[in-house]
Amino acid sequence: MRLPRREKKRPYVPVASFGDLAFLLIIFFMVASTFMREKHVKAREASSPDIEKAELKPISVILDSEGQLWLQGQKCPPDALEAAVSALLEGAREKTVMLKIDKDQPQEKYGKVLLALSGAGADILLVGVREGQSARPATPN
Amino acid sequence: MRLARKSRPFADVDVTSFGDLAFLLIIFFILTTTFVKPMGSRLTIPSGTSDPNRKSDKDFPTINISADRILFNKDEVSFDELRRKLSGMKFPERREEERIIIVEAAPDVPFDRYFKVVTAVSRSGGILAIVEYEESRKDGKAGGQEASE
Repeated sequence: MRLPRREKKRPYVPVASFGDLAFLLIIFFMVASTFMREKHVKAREASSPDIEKAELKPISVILDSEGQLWLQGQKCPPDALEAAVSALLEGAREKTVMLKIDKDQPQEKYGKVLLALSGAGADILLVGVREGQSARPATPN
Repeated sequence: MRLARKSRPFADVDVTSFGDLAFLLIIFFILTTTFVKPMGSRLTIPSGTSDPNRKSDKDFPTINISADRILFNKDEVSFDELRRKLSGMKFPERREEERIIIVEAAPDVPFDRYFKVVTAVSRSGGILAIVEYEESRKDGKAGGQEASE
């Protein structure tokens, strides 16, 4: 007796939803990414032959080309810096503060910033460029 | 007379390859993205409050920076000489209290100049003690100085 041969089904993987998945991933990374907070702050980097590559740190302080002080991308009065940094460092495991100072600022301005950060118990990472490289006009991050 | 209606083909856009396209885009950006790493120098500054009674230049080596010259223990040096002297001091082999260097900058010294000196101190393994000018000193009168401790 001849049995009727069963028709084999071709295997099929539905991939139409992969596109949605990929776009969801793109949207997730776009939302979760943090972009430069201090893009708008103008501070020319100082140069030195004695600097190395460093890791980005979550807390940043900038003294810009006009002598204005910025903490985490927000203007900060110099007198309030020590308390504000202390508050940020409270309970934080990472005590390092990235400090960028415009190369032409005088000591009477940056000296106070260094003392305030030291008083707040911060480890200071001074940001600059290696001598010979051109200084960028805006912030590093 | 009744004409037979032509059967229209079903309008369908095949979007299957959109997934491949999106994944290729993701992979492209993952591979080509470089995360900007800042260049910098970690300063070792003793944290704490200022101590106006402390004589900062009592025992420790001192670097004085003015707009046009650098003094190391009161001797004028070029920046390269300063770097050589600092590396010759072999700070990493010393105890912590023997690694302190007082850095004193005049109020008009631009940060670029100060940065070169403090990064050289930091690279040599020295611990930086900052000297703060008092208002009276800035006016040219005699006055004390404070070292961060």
